[in-house]
Amino acid sequence: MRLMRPLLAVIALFAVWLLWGGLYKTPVLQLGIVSCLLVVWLTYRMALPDQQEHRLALLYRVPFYWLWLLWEMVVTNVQVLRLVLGPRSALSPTIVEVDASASSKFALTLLGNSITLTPGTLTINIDDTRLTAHCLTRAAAQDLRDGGMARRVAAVDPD
Amino acid sequence: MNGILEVIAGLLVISGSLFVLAGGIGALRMPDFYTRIHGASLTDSLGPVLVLGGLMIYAGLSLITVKLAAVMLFLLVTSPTATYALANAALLAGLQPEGVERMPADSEDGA
Repeated sequence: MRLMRPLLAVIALFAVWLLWGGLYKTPVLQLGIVSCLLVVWLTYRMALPDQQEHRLALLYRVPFYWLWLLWEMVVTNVQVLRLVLGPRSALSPTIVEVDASASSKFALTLLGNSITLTPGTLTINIDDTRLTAHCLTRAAAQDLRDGGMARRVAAVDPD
Repeated sequence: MNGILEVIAGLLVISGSLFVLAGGIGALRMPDFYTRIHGASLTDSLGPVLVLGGLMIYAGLSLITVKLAAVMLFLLVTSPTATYALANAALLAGLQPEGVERMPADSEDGA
């Protein structure tokens, strides 16, 4: 039974390989099987998958969060575009710490990646209690500190 | 109808390319390592989203669109992870950001 999950992973990966490759020749299929096995082996060698239960609620909450994040990306991209093309004096680099002691690992990852994905804010360190971010301007740091993004992430994954 | 869609797709691809170009300019113009990462991050946030979005409109409803959507999804998960690895490695190696102001977490509201 311990082999069940890696086996399912290999089968799922190979299905994706078949669907996206669209080439059904023997050497290609052999290569596909070998690389799927290699990927699963490497993943298990790096870390066992966490045993927390898979919450289906995330599946429908995350896309709504992505839509909001996409809009946020448009806004911050235009801001950073101006900073990049404008004078250097407009920069006010700030390092801000955000309290993250209440978050699950998934929420921490989502928040850290979202901060990095919106230009102008960059996650530089994460530990169990707080997240450190480097911001291009003081205003961006203040926004991060006000915690709009952290609240939305907490709504996606309330545990 | 087809013509309009092609024009929209082209405009999206061009504006995405402009963001990628601006990212290159940013990486060159910014004053220190961490701010350069900010400049360069323009190339992997809205740039590819616009380019891939334009290509998806151009391809219409087909397997190609599904593949492009998957490429976008993977990019949006992996590129911030790679950026974090870069920034965190620099921080752990002891590179201090230049001229920063610090806002610690527990000074006033404590959250």
